[in-house]
Amino acid sequence: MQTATAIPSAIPVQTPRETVAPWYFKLLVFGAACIPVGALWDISWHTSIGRDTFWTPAHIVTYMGGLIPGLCCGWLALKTHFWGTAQERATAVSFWGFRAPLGAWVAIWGCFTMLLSAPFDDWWHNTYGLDVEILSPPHAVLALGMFHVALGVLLLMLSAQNRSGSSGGQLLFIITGGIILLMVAVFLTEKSFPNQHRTAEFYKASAVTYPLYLVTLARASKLRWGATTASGIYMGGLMLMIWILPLFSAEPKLAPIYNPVDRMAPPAFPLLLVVPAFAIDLAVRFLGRKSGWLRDTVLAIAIAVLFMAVFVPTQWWFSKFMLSPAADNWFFAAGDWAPYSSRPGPWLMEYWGLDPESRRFDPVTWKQLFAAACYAFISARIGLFFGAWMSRVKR
Amino acid sequence: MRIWLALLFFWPLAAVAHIGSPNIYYEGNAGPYALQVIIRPPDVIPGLAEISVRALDGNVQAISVLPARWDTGTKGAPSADPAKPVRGDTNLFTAELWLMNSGAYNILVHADGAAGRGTTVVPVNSVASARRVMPRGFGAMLGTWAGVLVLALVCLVGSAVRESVLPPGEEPTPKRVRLSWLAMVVGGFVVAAALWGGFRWWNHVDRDYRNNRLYRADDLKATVTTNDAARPILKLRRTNERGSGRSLVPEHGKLMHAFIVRQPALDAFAHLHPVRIDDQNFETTLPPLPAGNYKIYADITHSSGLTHTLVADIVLPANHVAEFSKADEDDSWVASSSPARSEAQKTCALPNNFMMQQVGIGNARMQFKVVDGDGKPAALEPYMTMQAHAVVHSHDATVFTHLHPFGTVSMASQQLFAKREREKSNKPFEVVCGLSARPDLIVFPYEFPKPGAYRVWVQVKINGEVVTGFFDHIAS
Repeated sequence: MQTATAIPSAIPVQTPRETVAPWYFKLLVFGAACIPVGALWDISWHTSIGRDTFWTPAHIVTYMGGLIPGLCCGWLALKTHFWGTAQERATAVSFWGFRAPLGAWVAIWGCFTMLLSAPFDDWWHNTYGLDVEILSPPHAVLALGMFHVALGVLLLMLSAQNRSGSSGGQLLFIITGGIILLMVAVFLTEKSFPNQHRTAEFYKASAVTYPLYLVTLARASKLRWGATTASGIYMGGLMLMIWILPLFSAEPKLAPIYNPVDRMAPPAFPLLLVVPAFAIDLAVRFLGRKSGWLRDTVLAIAIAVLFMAVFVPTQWWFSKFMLSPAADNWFFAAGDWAPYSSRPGPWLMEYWGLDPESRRFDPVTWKQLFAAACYAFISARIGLFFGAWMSRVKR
Repeated sequence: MRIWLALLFFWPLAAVAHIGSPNIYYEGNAGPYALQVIIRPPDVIPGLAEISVRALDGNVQAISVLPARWDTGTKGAPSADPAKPVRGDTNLFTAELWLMNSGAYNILVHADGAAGRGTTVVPVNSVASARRVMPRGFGAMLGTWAGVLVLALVCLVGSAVRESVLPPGEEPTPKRVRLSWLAMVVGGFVVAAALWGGFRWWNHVDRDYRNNRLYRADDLKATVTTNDAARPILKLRRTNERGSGRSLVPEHGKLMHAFIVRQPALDAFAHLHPVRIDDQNFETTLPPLPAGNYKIYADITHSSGLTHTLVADIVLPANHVAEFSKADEDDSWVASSSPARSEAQKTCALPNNFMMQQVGIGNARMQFKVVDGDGKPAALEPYMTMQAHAVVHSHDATVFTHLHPFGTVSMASQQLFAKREREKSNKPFEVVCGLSARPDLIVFPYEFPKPGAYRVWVQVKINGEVVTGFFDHIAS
């Protein structure tokens, strides 16, 4: 027989010293935010200028994203283990004989993984040529490291939130959640252009990815609209980049130049994730406050159906707008993401993958939508599991 | 082949247009300035080309370079990069340029000085020509690092399950400890599955690189048949596996330059110009060469400007045709010469008392003289528009290069680029290939790519006859 476990209430027991988030929490969140900002800037650099060095501003911001949380968490681990108060040591976990908060260990792990990707990436460039795509094995290692740095920061915010329930901690947690969502979306950039919003691959990739994060955040956050807020942060962050990057002039430095851009290229407009996130928040709020294996499984099915029912039509029709002349302005910046190395043409404002003659023919069919829904279910189910665990994390 | 971490070396594959000699040497005028340009192209694409430019007459104040792909030309090129002067050598400049795509590029070299600006163009084949494997020490370092991280990740999963949800100060129960061990096992499997997926991904990229991105010259098949007059005919059939079906353009008026070299003695040599039958088939009459094993090196140039050297092996039967008529008036051969030796040979006697001398190899140049019986410089006539042609062949057959006094580049590529530029911009764009020839000296800009023994054939035309001198050189 299944037993339902109550997810901890929004206002747990408070201790006086934990009602205010430690001073370095904001620094950690700033560091985590540097990761997607640096990544988006770097992508824009490669699509507008092309040539880079180890010390481009975009690279430096990305390094800051690893170094700030890494050094902060390294200091936190040393302080907690060697000079920590009894209270601090009591809110730590042991790892290889040392004691520190779980989030600090995860961020340190992410930092070392990011460092590992550097020589691997260098060797990769010397062996297979400079990779001009986002998805490559060394970039995946880098992304894994970045993700764990941000996850470590998230866990630190989370444990503070769960111990104190301060509104500052809750907000920092959900901001970090939005940053992670932005990072994940950046990693899926090559599958998420508006031109791909009528391909099965886009919906399957989205179904695998987004329910996991939205459901986890909805369940772990003490805010009422955790997933919606995080999605808003994701969209807001991306839109800021869309508006800010083109303010800077740029000149391609590599041949061949098919598209002579004169401004930093913005990223593509974000997905309207606030819409499925709102639906997920509603579902979790009304049906997911208690957890249990069967209960969560049924809830995951409901969320998967809800996600597909909301996400698919939203993107289906929004992409039609994004590919219309109405979106050709500074706000939506439709098609402005095109790199210097691509020939401009009608393809920029057309759907891709819909030509039956093309080997990339990949239309959305009921069968493919069912497959995407199955992925969404698995993703949501894992999200509910992690969300339930995260809502209890205190160290 | 599986890419695992314990791999040590990389092997350079055939370099396009030449074999085992990827660097590009060029000497020519950029307007009023004489320049020597050496380009070390990257062996993976995208990659960095290293460029060094020497002002031969010392009047150049600044050099700038830019890469232009064959199809986009200067319209699709970035602004030129200034080359840095080398400290201690006022006439030498260096620069690096990224070559982003595979195919034919042209490096434009601008020289600025008191006489204004001059420009020359150096064609470059931009192709991936090497496949590296991970050095053992580097692989061990990376593997150890990754191993520690994997172990740490699994232990972190254990720590998270064991303690993260406990209220501050509370010790984990034995049940929770057991649960953490279970989580570590499950986590270990998940991490192992992720690593396995990563290696499959890596192997997929490597396979794609080897099959689709790594340069592979067209296959060349050579056969010998006899025609109606019982004369041996050399038939060459090229098959382009990658489907790059661009048409060929003539280099010095010939669609194909085939060099036939007897192996391993290198004592018989022919420079022929097979006639195109169709896109794939070429044929020519075989001159009277001694029987033996031969290598055939066939140079062709695509209309994009990309040049290739196709290689085939063939066994030639004895060929004693009493009366041989050339299939092409510029065909030439040396049926018997002394076998290649592992010691330097600097002089070569030519017919009619002429003598060819190697007078210097160094500073990226090979220099030769042709003198008559009185020791006076011979009057050289243009041979296929060139003062001379040279072929460099290492004794171990790993290096083959066909070059001219302007260097190792394709003159056809250079002129094609200039023609396209004129057509696109409707402005004059002229490139003068090479420097003015000196009557008393033949200069080939070139450096041997690796130490070893080489045979060099130098061909000139005297009194209407093509004569071939041969030399052995030991590069240290």
